[in-house]
Amino acid sequence: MNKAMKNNLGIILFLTPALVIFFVFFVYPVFFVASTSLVRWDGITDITFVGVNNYISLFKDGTFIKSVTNNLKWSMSGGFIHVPMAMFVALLLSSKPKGWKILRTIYFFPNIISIIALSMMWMAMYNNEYGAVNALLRAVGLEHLQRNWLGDLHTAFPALIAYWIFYIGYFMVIILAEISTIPESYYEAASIDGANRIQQTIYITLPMLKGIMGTCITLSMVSGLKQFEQVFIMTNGGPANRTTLLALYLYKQMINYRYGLANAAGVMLLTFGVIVIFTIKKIFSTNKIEQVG
Amino acid sequence: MNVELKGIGNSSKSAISMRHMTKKRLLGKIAGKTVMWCILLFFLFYTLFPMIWLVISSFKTNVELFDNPFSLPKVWQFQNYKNAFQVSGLAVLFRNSIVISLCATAFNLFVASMAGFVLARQRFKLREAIFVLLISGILIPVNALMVPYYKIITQIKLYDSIFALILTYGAMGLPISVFLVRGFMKTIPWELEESATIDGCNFYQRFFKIILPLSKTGLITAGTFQFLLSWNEFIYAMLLTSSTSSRTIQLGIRYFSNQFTTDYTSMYAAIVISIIPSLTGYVLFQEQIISGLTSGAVKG
Amino acid sequence: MSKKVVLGMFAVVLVLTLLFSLTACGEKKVPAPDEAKQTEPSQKEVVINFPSIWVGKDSKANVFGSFVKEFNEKNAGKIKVVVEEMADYQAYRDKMKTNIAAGTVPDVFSFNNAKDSVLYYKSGNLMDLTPHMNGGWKEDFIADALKEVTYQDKIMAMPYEFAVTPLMYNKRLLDKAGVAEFPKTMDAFIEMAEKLKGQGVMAASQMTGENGWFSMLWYSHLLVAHGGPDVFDRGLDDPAFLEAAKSLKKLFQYTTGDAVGAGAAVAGGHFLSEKTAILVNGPWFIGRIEKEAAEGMYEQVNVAPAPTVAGGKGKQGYYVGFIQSSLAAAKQKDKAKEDAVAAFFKYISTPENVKRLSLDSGSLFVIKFKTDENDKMSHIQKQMIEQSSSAPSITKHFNAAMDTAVVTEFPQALSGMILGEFTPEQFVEQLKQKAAQ
Repeated sequence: MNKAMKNNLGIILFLTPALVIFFVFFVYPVFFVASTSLVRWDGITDITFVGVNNYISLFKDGTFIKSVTNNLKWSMSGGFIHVPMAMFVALLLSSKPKGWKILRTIYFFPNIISIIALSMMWMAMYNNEYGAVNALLRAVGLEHLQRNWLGDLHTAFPALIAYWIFYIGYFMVIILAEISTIPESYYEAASIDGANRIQQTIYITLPMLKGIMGTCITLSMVSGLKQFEQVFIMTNGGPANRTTLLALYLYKQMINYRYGLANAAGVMLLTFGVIVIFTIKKIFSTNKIEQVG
Repeated sequence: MNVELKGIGNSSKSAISMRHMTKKRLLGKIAGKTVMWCILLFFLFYTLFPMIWLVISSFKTNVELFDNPFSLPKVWQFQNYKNAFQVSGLAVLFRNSIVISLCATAFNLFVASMAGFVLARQRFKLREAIFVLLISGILIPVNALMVPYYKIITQIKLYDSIFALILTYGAMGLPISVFLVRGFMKTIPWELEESATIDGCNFYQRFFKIILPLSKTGLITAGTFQFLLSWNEFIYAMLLTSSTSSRTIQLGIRYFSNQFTTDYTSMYAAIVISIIPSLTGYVLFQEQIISGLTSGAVKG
Repeated sequence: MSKKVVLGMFAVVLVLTLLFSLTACGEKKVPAPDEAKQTEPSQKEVVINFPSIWVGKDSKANVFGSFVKEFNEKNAGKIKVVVEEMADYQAYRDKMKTNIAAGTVPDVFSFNNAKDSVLYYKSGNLMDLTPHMNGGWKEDFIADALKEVTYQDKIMAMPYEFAVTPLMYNKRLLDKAGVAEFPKTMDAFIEMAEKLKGQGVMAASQMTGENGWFSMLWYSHLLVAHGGPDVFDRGLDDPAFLEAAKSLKKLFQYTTGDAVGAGAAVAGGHFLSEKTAILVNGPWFIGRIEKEAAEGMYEQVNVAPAPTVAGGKGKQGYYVGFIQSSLAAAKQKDKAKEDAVAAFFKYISTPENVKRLSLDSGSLFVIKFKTDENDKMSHIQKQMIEQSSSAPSITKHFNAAMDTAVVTEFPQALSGMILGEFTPEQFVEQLKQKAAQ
């Protein structure tokens, strides 16, 4: 970039709207949340300052600790199973098999259906009495594996993760769009050299996808930290708080008239998020893909 | 580039030796195809199933739904759709949802693309700091912000208007949009902008005439995210409005969920109706717009 | 932009217009709120905003809606009650909490009575109804009801809906299992449950999903059975909490395999499709039995008080009943507005109006009214009223008596106990911890 391209007035003009909105809708609210994390407040009567007491109670609460570890598991599954799977399917579709456009559209459907409907369906799938999962196990002669999937201490959380992890549509569409921007000439050159499709994928496509993969992994991991609605509907954190998550924990504290504790949990959620984002940035920047993310 | 060329060089040697085994290769190819189709069909079934289930369930009675959720209805209950159309002010809620989602998306992309442009393609002090600050907003759990958002909206006198939701949704998605749009803008080759500068394009012309058209993939990605957020959001739609004239279809769906009982099957009918516009829009988007745009994009 | 894109856009618009013409029939039904804004400047009308859950498909929506309409017609030009429709109770509760935390109390709102309701009374944000109540209005209410909403000798809300939650049982399933009479003691109950199990029917619907509602009501009954009607006054240290937990755990042996994690729709559905023989719930469920239950089942559903336990303090026939919801109003500076709100409260609580509401919706209220033989009432509701009026004691349920934090934890602690993660002792301990946090 040369000096002629720089425009200070333009920078200010273009950044101002975003910054104003950001201050009103993010900085002020976060400041509000952070400051009320230091008080005891039921949301109705007077506020008392309690210092870091809320944070101390958080770390003494087994449910909070469980929420943190669950969120980390959710994020990891998102970043390291969900997104790579989306990439894999995107690569398959990029070879443009018959009907690939229809498949691409249908794979995205679950993102359009409301979460209530999707969650209710999976509750029915996992149900012990009439669930389709148990019926499937019976059909293939694995009766002994049948169980009340969402009401079992050991399977409830894995079952929650297992169902959404295959809904790869969103990231697949992003990655597919990125693949389609790779110039055809690269592949032409490679096939003249005698490279087959798998080799082309490994040596041309994959390196070109590093940037978008960093973006997708970040988005997926961050959304893993913020999960709320589907768990709220499907298990409400049960059984025995085995499926609790930070956002759910935070919500329950608000319901319990403990705004201070809820907001302390919010601050912790934010802190974990920052750690995750910076870790991913670090990992991917060593691979020299500073460009994106 | 170096890495790639080396890789291809190595493998071309093995490709030669493979010519002696064409039969094996053919078999391998068939096997590969079969595996690929198994995988693709698995995902097809997995993603299509909820939609089919939802539509079938929306024709059942509630007892049928909970007695045997995977059966066909004994009698197809068109009544559920009749119920759904009786939601008070359904047409208004629909119109609001469309207006709010489109405006919030346009507003969000406008702000995000300007910020993204500067953050991707200008060099100045604090650039990285501002960028990190902005994208840290992605992390904020919005349901923790109910009290402050309610305060802001009532203070700027937007409570119970569609602008409250346009502004809030546009703002909520801003960090993610900046993140996505900037990422795409960064990959546009410098030479393009440089040669435009030489041709006499100023800052604004370069933004509108070169960068914006070339980052359409990014804009559509971010726009899809933003549209879905605005279309499906419920908590703030409830919190920041109080009359039908400014509410969205998501509140219409909740019409069937009461304190003691929820009429799930009528709710499903309402959900089916509510996803038709986004589904239609998406299908058309996919087929026409994305493919048309990406094929023409020049990227490095 | 290519031709194709334009065509695509055009198609979207076309589809949407088509949809609109289809949905336009609903448009005329847009409720009043919008009109309110227009009439404001011309006259000095007092506008009362009322976010309400008694709308849409709620059983009280019809009659309550006509109350508002009638009241507005009667006071045309003077008072206008504007209803903000919010069917979803959870969202309603969250919005009310947020409004109040942000310092804006709605003119009129309803809440489910709970131990933490006292926070609202304490806050100083609510209108004191005492002066209005003193003019004879008080006499319309069941005496104990007003105690529930009184704080420092001031009546801070108007108690409204009342509920009892006895055992509703499916008599034809009992007959099939050879049980002639509904068991009065826990031992007899278990005996019956075994017989039912032999017929492939589970005794009672239980659930630990959502707020664990049906099982929470069972626990409330068992608490009274073990600890007597004043069990909640003595707090979680009372041994009754442990004993009731043990009894509840036993009952889970006689329920469906999906009870842990099941929500109210699933657990209630099992009763309606005759997979379980007993459901503990309030009168609002009667309408669903009538409309949705298996064929011929409605006539066979009867009501009974919960069983007693050997050595327990609960007397035969005890009932669990509670004020389900009350209405509160924001403190007003303007006397005219305060009077308007009081007038509205009075209107919706006259014995005649409450009778209309009760007969139409099947709900019970804390306002006294006379019924006669001609009034149409379901046999289930009749039994509930008869049994509750002759009950030796009526105690509120666990969720209404405990801190909200304990209420939130209950389904978690319960599922833990049922799955063997906690002993009954640890179950009680878990609840105590939440109360202390």
